[in-house]
Amino acid sequence: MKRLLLYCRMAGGNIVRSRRFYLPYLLCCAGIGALSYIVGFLCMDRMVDAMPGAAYVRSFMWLGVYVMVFFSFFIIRYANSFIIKRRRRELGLYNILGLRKGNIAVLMAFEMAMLFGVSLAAGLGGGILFSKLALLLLARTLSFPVPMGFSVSGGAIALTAGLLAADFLFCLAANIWGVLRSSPMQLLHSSDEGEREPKSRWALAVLGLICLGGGYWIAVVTKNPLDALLLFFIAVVLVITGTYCLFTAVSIAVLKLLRRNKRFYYRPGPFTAVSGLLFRMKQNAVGMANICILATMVLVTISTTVSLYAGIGDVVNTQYPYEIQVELNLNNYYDGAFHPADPGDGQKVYTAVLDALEKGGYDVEKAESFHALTFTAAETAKGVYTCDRSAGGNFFLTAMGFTTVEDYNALTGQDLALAPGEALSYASTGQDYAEVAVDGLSFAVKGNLDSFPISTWDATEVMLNAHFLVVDSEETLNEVFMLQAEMYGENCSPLRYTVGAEVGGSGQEKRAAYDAAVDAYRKLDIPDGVSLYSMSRQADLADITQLYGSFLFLGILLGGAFMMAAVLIIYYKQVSEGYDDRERFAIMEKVGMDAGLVRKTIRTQVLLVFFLPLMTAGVHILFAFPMIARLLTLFSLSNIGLFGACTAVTLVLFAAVYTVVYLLTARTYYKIVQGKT
Amino acid sequence: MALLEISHLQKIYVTRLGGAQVEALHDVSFSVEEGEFVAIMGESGSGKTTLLNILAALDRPTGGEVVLNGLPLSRLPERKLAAFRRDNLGFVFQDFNLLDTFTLEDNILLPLVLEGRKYQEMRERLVPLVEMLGIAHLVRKYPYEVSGGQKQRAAVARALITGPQLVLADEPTGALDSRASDALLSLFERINRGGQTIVMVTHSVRAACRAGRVLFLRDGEVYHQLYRGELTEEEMWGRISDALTLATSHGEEDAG
Repeated sequence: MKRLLLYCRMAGGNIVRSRRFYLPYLLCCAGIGALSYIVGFLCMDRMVDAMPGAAYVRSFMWLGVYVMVFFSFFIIRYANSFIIKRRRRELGLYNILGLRKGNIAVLMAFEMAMLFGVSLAAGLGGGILFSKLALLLLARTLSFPVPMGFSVSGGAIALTAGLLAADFLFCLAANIWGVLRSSPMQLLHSSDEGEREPKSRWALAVLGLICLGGGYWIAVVTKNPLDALLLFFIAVVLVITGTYCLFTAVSIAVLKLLRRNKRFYYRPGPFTAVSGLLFRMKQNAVGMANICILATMVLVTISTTVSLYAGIGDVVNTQYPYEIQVELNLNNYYDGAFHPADPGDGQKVYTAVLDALEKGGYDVEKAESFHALTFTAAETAKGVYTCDRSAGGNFFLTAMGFTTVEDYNALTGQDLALAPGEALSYASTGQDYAEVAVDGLSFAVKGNLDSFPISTWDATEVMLNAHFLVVDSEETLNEVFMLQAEMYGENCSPLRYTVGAEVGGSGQEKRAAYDAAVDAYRKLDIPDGVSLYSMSRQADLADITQLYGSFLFLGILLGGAFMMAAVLIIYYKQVSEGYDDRERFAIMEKVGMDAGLVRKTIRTQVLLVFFLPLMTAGVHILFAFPMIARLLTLFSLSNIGLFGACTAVTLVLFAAVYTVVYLLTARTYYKIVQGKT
Repeated sequence: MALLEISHLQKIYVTRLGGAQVEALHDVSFSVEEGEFVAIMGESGSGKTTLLNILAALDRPTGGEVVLNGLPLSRLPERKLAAFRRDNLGFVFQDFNLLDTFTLEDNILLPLVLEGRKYQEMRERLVPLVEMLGIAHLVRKYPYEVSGGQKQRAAVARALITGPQLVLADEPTGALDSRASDALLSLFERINRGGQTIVMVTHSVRAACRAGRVLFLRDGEVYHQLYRGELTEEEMWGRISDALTLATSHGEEDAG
């Protein structure tokens, strides 16, 4: 019993004495605990079940759990190995003063148990406290009513405790193994080993520059979003490799070149800075590269998820040109037969939908209808299209669209007339055409248009250029339909009649208006085999909000975790450097370096070590920007300005948090270097 | 006029909580003429290190004055101390205090770089110095690549490169074996013969008997001094040993 108390007292004392190391460690472990609890809570708690979109939240949060498991292991291991390295001398002393290795192991187990208890308690406390907040936030992000009440999830507690216990046990085992393996003298002197000057590795430096350049090049020149998706991961791997080489080899090569320039090097500032950095880079290059990559991950994760979320309106507006859209296939070929609608069916649908909306008293802001035919064709020469894919040779697949001049006039409020064989042309590439031919059917282009009233989104969705032609009449439209139906057979596109309406009012009113429209057209007598369907922007908005909202939420949670890791790494780096630098600066002061210069040199070094990774991350983001912007178009987000703003805001916020950490850390560093500990 | 004059130096340390006071130096007065090689001897706790720190302007005395070449150190403002140390004093330490991040050459040049000299001028001063000290072939090496004696010679070069008025050595042979110690002390003698004033703090009789004069410090006071004059090294050794024995027995009488 007495012994137990003694162990407790010693372990507690040790932790308190090394609080400079253990406090950030505990904070970090508690943070990880809290995050795990929250992620687990959102996975498992019954309150989440009641929410619409619970499935999205679940799947995203489970992803979060996996990331947390790996991530917590990595970061707690890192912090532990840092601390134990610093404490080896103390442990060696215990060993010499008569504590057997077994006793030391027991002592370490006591310490670990205490640390575990504190981090688990703090983590769960924080997690339970903030879980409700997280739920509120999630409810807001996904825009559904806030669930009432408060609950504690047993599953999440078990998850958190298990996670932390596994990490701590692993660390304890590693620490005990480290002590058993080495002699007390090794323990005592392990921190005095001399550091050799880093070798220059030119090949690695060149490789790094090539990788980095290659990654940047891919990011900048890849124009096609589908290619971007494929090449993105290659670019990421190249940039990560490049970053490690940059910090480990390129930095040292540059510093050595600077040192060779005698007139630059032998001056008070550069003299100490360059030589100090040379050695510092050797110890810290990997750490700095880690920080840089973590920072880039935070920035990319948060800026993309935020801009996707913030751009939901844009996304939905591109995908859904109308609040309520009803599509009738006027003619189609499938199952070996044509399935034409009766003449006038289009008008019937239009009237029925409009009547229903007006009768229901909904605020109809706009109602439109048009005929359209869209299909894919190969452009073999400028303006020459064919549906015959066997043609071979060089061609560009293009999404072709056709409508009538009557519809075009109605949509734009103009009064144009076209003769048979004439057309108006709109190409999404912005090119002007003089003549367009589709498998022998040719049109003289009377005018090239800058914009088009019919959405070309469904063409660009599959990453094709769109080319719309306005033709003189429904007969011509039908002719084109028959032509492509002949070529494509079962795979042909239908001739469509679209009714679109904008409805004002609240989300609920919009949903009700849609339901009314659907009821109305269902009652119509449309021939069998003629497809009639509809889309609601509002219904999709809710769905997409849940999807992107969950995505954003996960992005923020993980971003927070990554940031915590970056901060912890940088803090420990500074502290360990402080101890290494203390000696150096003491010597320099003795040989006549004045305190002002010492402070200046310290500031330069700390600033460099702190902000070099951040700056590199900034450059990475800058180069990644065009590529990610293109990738986002795959999610129908084409608002580059929005993404730019999100990235900039994320960068500024991150830099702000980083600077605060810098100020706190720099203070500790100065205290250590100036020997006030 | 003496190069270095120390009068009634007193240093009292007060513990942080302001409780106990420790008097490290009680009343120390002596002077050093230009070109002298003075050794200060004393047991640990006799105030040697405190005295040297005050001479080096690393610490301020509680009372008394240190005058170097007519300039009272107490008149120097804090911000000029570093430059003063650099220009007027050279240091040799027991644990060498070489920076592991610099080559020997850069370590030696450090004070000149801090003064802002031109590289050409630095080279001109460095080359004859390292040749005299026998480390010319080692200047590109790092401190951890050379022996203790070589390290200490590099430290001596660093102390001498600014052409200081006074070289202060704190137990310079403390971390060296006997051969390296003898070589270093011979070097000191040679430098001293070249006109360099040296003040060395030591508790090694072997080191002290090479000096021209030995001061004995105890309980913060100079209680004895010996001039070497024409004495041989063996005779000097004997005298110093006698003085130390006297001091110890005296100390024991005090205690008893």
